[in-house]
Amino acid sequence: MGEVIVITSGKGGVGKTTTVANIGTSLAKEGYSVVLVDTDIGLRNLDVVLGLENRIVYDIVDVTNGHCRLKQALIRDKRFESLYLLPAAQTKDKTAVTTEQMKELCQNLKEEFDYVIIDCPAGIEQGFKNAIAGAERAIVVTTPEVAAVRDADRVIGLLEAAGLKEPDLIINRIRPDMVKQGNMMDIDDIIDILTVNLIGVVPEDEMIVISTNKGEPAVLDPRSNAGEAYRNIAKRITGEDIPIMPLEVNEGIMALFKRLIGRKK
Amino acid sequence: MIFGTLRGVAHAGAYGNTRAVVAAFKLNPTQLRIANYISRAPDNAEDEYVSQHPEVARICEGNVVIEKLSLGANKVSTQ
Repeated sequence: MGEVIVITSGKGGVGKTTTVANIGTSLAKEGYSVVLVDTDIGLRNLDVVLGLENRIVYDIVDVTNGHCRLKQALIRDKRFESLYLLPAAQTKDKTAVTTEQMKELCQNLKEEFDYVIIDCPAGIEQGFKNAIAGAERAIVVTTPEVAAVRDADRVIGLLEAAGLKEPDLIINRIRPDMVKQGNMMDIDDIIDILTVNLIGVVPEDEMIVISTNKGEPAVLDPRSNAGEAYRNIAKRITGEDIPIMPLEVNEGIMALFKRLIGRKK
Repeated sequence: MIFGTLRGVAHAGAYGNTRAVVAAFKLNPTQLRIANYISRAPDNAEDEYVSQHPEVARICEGNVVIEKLSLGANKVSTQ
């Protein structure tokens, strides 16, 4: 029997879909059987991030309406045999699926897979309610911005009200250099506000943009900092005890040079 | 028949007409469906092949095949 984990944030654009793709790929790489469920009906994106958009024939709405069998809609990843995607519909809206249907779907999926990871849409309306309906565990993604943290706070409240106690937190797109200068909220500030368990910190990384465009999750790139952070988060999800990576100010050689020159002035 | 570039998903003969065709000046779909047949572009999209000629996709012996569009060939298939 597997575990159903929902990745949510409240605010859009903080990296839910990227997180789902990377954690899912990383878990599959570790040998677990994983299914990623895109519940962002009408605005699906997870298929593109995984590079599987040209394989979609049936989607989650076809499954819940009984137009096809669950197995027909699942798309196997092109890199890992144990990784599957259940895509969202593009032509319907969030009301096309009910919370009861989602619960049943999650129940069926967790019988087949070790991990069922649900990509939640932004917002706290029907799509959010559907996404969390069948989940047993929640991971909240936020960025070090006031708006994202406030939305995360609200979402944590809603998750706890829905019975998903003690959600975990991922702080995404942090810039150690800006934190050091005091221009960005640091990890402790965010944890003070949200008072939840931190499961990982992902540094800002240009490679994410490249990997997202190519449809290759960053965890597959050993040089990517964000990829390494996601690999560690995946391990923590499975119960491994890995300390949070210390944030290092990664100065380029030019920045170092400029600083040296600056000091002489 | 598209007088331009075809991108995305196209479905011809959705009600089961296997003689339906998809034609475009630049045929560059993510997925092509004709009747109950489905085909997709190859994965190595980096060396993307872009045809200089208008192309037509049709079903031939149970496969979706893409060939250069010429009016003569169209006539043969509709006979």
